[in-house]
Amino acid sequence: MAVKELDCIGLKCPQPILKVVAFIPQMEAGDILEIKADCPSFPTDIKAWCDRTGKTLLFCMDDGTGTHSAQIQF
Amino acid sequence: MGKVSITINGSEVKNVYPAVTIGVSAAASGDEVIFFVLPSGLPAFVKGQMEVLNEKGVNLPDLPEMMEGLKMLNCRILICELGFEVHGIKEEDLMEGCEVVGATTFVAVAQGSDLTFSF
Repeated sequence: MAVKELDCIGLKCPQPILKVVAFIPQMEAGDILEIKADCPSFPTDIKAWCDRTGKTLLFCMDDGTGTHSAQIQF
Repeated sequence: MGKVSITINGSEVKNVYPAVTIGVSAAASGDEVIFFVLPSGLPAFVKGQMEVLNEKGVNLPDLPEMMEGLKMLNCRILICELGFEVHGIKEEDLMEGCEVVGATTFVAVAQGSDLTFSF
């Protein structure tokens, strides 16, 4: 199981989600993807995406400056 | 997953951006996505025009990148054949990946859509 990072800072909706999807081929079952994003809709979008695609959203939190960190388990 | 059909009836930022944004979001979530570009939308699908729209779409997401996403996610872009004569545009002027069809084909392909949008 590996933890991989994806930087989506500066990207606007829906580009962070698109980046996550483009990254999927690099993920194996059990791997965790850690994403950083500052798009305001990212927390709700990543939750909706995980709900629809059956991925596990471990957490999504704001660091207080508008940058969100999320972890998804594949 | 679901099936999403989107018609585009204009070639301005207000037509193309919402269509592509919703389409790529749906496709990224696993939906089958079909666009149908009506004659008024055709000029936006000429080679190089997405880059022009991207410059007009200030503070909006990168349009060419989203178009690449549509391609990666196997979205279908169906172009209404009626637009070519209307605008004096040739089929070879289109960006890659478009399919020229009639409305009957679109209606057949879009059968059973869970969501439909028109811009």
